[in-house]
Amino acid sequence: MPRVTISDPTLRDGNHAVRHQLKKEHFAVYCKAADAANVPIVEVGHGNGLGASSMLVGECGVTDREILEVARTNLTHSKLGIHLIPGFATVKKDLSQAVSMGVDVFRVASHCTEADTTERHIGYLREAGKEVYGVLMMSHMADPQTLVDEARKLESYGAEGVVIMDSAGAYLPNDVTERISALVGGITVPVGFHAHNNLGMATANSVAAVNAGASIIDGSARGFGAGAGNAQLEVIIAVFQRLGIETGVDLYKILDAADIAERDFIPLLPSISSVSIVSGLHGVFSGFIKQVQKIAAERGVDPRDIFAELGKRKAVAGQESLIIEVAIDLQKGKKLQ
Amino acid sequence: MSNASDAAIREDCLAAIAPHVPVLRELAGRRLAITGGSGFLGSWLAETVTALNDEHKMDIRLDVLAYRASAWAADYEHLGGRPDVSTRDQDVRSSFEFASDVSFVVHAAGIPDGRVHSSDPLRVFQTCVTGIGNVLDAASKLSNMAGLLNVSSGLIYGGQAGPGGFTEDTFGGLDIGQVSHVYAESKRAAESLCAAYRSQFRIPIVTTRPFTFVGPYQKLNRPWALNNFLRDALGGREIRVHGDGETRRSYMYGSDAACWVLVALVKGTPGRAYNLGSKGVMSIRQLAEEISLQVERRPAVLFRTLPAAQLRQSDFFPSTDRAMQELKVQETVGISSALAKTIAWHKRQASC
Repeated sequence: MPRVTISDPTLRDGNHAVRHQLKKEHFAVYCKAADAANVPIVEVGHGNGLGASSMLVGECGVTDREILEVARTNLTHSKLGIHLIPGFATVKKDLSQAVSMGVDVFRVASHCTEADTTERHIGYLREAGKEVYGVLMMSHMADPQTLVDEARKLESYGAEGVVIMDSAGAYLPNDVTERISALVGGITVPVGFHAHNNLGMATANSVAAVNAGASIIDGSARGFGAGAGNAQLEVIIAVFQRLGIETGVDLYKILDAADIAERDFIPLLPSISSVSIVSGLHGVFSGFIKQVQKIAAERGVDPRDIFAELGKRKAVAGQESLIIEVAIDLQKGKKLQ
Repeated sequence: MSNASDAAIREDCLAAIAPHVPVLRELAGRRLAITGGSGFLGSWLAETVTALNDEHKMDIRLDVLAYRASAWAADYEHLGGRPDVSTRDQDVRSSFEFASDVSFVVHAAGIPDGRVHSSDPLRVFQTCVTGIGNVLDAASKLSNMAGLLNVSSGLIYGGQAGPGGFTEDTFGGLDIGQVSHVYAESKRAAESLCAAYRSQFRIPIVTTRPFTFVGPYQKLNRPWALNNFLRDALGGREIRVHGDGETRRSYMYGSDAACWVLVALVKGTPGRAYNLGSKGVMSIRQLAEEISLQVERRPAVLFRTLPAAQLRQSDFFPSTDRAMQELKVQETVGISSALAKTIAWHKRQASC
């Protein structure tokens, strides 16, 4: 029976969906519920990870320290995980604090072609004896061989697993199969998959990933995550159960956790909006959606046109300022017509 | 570095060279240059040469050439500060000359670190191939050239080891399109260039192909299982083995490695290659358990810490028959003792 490790980013990716305004009590109540459900890893933090709270990508309602304190207090069986992107997270200021506060699993992320940026952070964390995964974001922007090359870098730096993110929700199952298969054959550490649901494929893509050999799967309660959301955790647990894939997660208790999340801190359940579909089609980071909608309304341009243009310009997370640039260009174009 | 550590290392060097002192007299009064001299092997060679000078009055002058030789000299002042040791910051990718009275050369410059293979394969290739080209050019200008030893790599064999380990004349395939093979492939190219220089310029070149080492001077932040296990054990943490631990390796202690290199340099047959490694084969599981036993707090050893890690057994250990028969060399330090010495050295370093 295949066995997968479930990593639950409800309290991290979901923070994107509420402009990083999850409160301490939300972290507490969900950590307790996920812990009771025996979720192996519970990821917490700002949507863009440790140290990312800023005007550019959004200021967090609570500090990293407060989040980690609350999570640590409420997780007894589950491992406490965080996502971090070198540049946002610094070794001295952020990582040393997270290490000392007892974070168990560190997921060090980079754009899919920039794994080189993670070496120092992964090295530091391995030396501190921590469990470290490498994460390749926006993985649809790289072909399978490039992903293997980048994953090998992560493995050589000390990553104990490599997770690819479908940050734009752009994959169809065959895309996932092709990439996960290449990675499973190309590196020796476990491979993971993080889905987004822009094209309604998050669950199917997660199943495809496991069938291709992935052994780390991300899923959020009610799919709470950026844009159209992630793979819905309680659904994939149920589906995996049907497929005979072992997760160790208690189904009823994760259903309870999802109910709690919906009741307490998901103001609007993720849905596949028109702009989400366009975002997925053009391969643009799901986390841009709220800002695209806001700027489109301010500038009087069609958000779908902004996504189309961002896709052409191959925009990646961290380039939020490009949204305004594109909107202005579109505005000018309109005036010219 | 503490005096106690100096004494322990000196003792190891003297034990390793004891049967070979008559052979190593060939080096007496000569000048020896080592490229890549600040690494693990280079540091042990410096320890061994200075032991030969102090205890056997060999009067060997040692030139340590390395990318950061001056930093090495500052870190290990007991070596770098000696009058019989001189250091020069030298990147072998740039052309250079040896001191005109150099008679022996050990070319040990290379980048075995897999992290660099992935991130900067071009530098790895240039260091191996351009580097050996520059070394051979410089050596060809020496009027008293008596011997050059090219430190290659056991990785050039490719494929899987046979039951007795890799022998010097069995070559498997390497996928040259894979960046991860750049080190092995460039070491092959370097050996090929050595063969060309030996043929055209009659430089007496011997090759040695190192496998895995253990001992003081090994940095714990390097990406190899042994280093990771030691780092975690010394840090008081459990030892995590991602696979099932059945992959096999062998670990040669630093003083033995340095001794074998010097014997090969003066006694090896030009054009011939000799494996450099231990015949004491063990699984990664046994290694982790042995390390755990040697650390006071006995850290737990965890296997398959993540599900479905791809279990591929890639054994990597040499046959040492040729070296032992032709060079008459032996190992003097077994793995248990090597680990104990290494752990003791790191503890002393930490307390300095």
